Amino acid sequence: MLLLITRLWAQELAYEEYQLSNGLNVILHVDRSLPLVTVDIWYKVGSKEEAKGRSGFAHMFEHLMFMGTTRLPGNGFDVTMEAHGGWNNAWTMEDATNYYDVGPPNLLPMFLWMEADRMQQLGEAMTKEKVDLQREVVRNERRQSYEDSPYGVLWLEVPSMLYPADHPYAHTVIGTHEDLESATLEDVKAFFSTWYVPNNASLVVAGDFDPVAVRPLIEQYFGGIKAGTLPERPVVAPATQVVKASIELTDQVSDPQVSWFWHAPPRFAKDEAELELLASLLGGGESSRLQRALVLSGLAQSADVYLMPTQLGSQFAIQVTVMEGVAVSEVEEVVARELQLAATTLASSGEMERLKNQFEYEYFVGLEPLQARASLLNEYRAYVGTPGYLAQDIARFRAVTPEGIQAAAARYLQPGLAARILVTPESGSAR
Amino acid sequence: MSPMWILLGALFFANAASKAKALPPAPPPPPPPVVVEVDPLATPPAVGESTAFVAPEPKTAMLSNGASLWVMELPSLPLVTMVIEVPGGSSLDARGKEGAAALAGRLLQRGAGGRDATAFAAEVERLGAQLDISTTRHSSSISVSVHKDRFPEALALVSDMVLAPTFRSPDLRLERKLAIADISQELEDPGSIAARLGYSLYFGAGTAWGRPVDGTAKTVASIRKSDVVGYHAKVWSGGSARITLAGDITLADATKALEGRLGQGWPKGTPAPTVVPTPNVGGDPPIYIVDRPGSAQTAFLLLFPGPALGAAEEAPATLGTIALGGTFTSRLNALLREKRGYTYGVRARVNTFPGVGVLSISTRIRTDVTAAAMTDLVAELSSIRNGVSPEEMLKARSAWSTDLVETMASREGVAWMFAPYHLVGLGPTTVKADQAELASASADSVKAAMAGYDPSKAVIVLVGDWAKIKEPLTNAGFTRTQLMPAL
Repeated sequence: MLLLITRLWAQELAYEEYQLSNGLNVILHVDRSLPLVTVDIWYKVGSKEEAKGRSGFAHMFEHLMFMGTTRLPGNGFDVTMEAHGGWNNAWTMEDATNYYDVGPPNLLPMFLWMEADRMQQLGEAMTKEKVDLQREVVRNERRQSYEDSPYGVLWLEVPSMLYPADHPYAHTVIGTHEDLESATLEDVKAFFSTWYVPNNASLVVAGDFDPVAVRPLIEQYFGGIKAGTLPERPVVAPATQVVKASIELTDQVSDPQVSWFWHAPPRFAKDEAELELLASLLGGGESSRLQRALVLSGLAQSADVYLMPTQLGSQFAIQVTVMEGVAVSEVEEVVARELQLAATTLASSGEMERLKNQFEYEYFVGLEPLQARASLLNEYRAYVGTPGYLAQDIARFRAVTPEGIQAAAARYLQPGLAARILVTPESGSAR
Repeated sequence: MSPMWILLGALFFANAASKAKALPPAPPPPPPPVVVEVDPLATPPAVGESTAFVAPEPKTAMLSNGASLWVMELPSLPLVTMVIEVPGGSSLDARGKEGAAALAGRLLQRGAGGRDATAFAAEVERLGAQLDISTTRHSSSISVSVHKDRFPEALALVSDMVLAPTFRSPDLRLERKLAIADISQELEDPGSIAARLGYSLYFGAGTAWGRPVDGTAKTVASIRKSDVVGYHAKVWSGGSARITLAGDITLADATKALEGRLGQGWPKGTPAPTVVPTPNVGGDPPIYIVDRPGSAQTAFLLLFPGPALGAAEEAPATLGTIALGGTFTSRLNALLREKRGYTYGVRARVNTFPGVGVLSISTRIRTDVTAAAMTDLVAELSSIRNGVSPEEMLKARSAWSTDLVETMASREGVAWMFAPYHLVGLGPTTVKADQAELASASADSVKAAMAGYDPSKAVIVLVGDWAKIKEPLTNAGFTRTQLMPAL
């Protein structure tokens, strides 16, 4: 039964891939079931490429990509597409920046033109005023998402606890206020000319379109953009030890929250699937081990377990918000016991059935939106070198064994390898 | 000029030269070709006509107990989503027992059909099913999404939740504790603090709709087993149920499966009483402030009277509200985010319920510009009451249409798109009718709908650092403020 879904989706994710002479990678994925198209561009530049003292820059640059060009000044990018039912967004992570446009099929030539336009000449039209404005928007995002969000402050500390100062992941994607304030117009222009070049990008066109008609358009709009010379990316040894083992923070919250972060293998590397299913074994759903041991037992309000995969090494996290009146140490003992159990005993056959069924259901539902499929094709291409990785991706999860999960728990989730953050209520915040 | 265009030009002329005839005597050589630089991006492409998309309509049936069934057949993926909804909700909570309806809903996941909490959760998760419970002010619902081959097993579990919930006392004690913890977490988030207080004031503090759906720590602590059992018995009657499915299932198969599980064994019963609220607005209320010392931002929530679900004003209010704060280029985002840099974003929405509606604006503003942002907001509301431009009308219509198409990609999205109309007795063609109304709404009707954005009839709640925002607000002319405790 699940195999049927696999086959169906393997078919649905049919694609063709080619490169323009300037190095731009192009992936076409046709799905004519609804009158909808998406254009998704993945630039292989993220916060790990930021210079020292410029944390948050890659993400701020993402905002600046919507500030207009000479041909389409001001907010013309948004105005043009919204006038015809299109919308767009973007996101930045450690490894990449992803832009996407979604709308009716008649907007596809415009989407392509606008993306090519800003890929070619955004830097020329950049001004200090634009930089100053988006700097403030990004700083507001930082306030909203981290500083004024319950327990949000802990995320500002995780990178420096896990990675040495010279590691590309040692700072946050959102950056510090100080670094954001330091960014200059010259920084923006240099960043654009270095990283926003066709040979550092991959373009997916997905949805209701005719590839025969779209190929010449892509060539016409993107073919003339000059390739750049990409800096050599440093080879970074995988981090396995934490820099700081434990810190305590305060926040405007009522109850303590304790979190642990471990180093894990890179995105799509060996053991990643085992750790994903280990996260689900421990915290995925009401019948998971930590949910039963902590939440259903009344010791905790919530227990979340997840893997955050990235190119140079991932992070495995456990976060527990403690129930009022319960000692943090009691929760920590339960977590330690469950981790020990995971590292020394095998998941049952019932647990394995749950893990695989949950994984596959969520995986396929997550692929219902056209834009999610477009982004996944680009992600596969960026991390494993081919957009055609879906079947293998599913297969590696299907191949996970109880022994593999146990071994991953034993290898990666050792107590001495964790960075622990305890957030407690500020004075006056506790109930 | 790019190398590619130079190369293409050179190839063209070289090829043309090779085809020149040799006889009669050669004319003088032509002048060298003039290569004209052409910027392939100089002119943006024209945007053609959009493809017509007509909203679908579900097929309908009735179970023998009177439960209404809508099925949207979407066979492209082997997935099914089912929503079972009944009227009721927190508006039926007794005074002092606020949160009882929500707690009764939470307990449905804690055991049914003879299974305890752990066994029930294990069975749901073994199926790889996504099970959700929801309680609103006017309804209770169970939704499940699952692979179509496992739909019969999932339906059996849902049937047990409806017909044979366990409601064990130890589960009640645990769930009460978790519900209180959730309320505590809500009170840590500025946006949630604003919403709890704002909607209470909008519907009238202490009224059936004006009390928090999930209650307060005090009221939840007082809820007993008889309260949740009583609520379940009162609202989960077969004749009141509205069942909406979307996915790889036919109406015939769905009817057969549901009739077997829920049609015959679920008595028709008596519909629960419904409560239709009257918004408590007007009289030029003060700006309500919840003090949150140390906040880097002030959370804003503005609530205005809006159209009820299915009302004629819904379409024009939707169009105007999208123009006001529904997209990146909407007026409020253009002003407060892109021009001023005060915020990460602003959102305006139309929230419709049976018999009542709310126009809402929410944002988070940097503390030091709270007063300036409020001044801008009030000015923009004054402007929108004069109506919107033809370009804004077109943009709003197009945004709504794209959203509809995108919703159709998700079984869960489709089921939840139809469920609200199904619940209140509007027909299966309602989405199609909405589409027609949005296409035909006049500028005058939008202007009339935008008259609702009147600050003198709004509930305005700010959550922020009172010591830092009070004086600037007063200096900006917002002199009538009232400090309120979080709810």
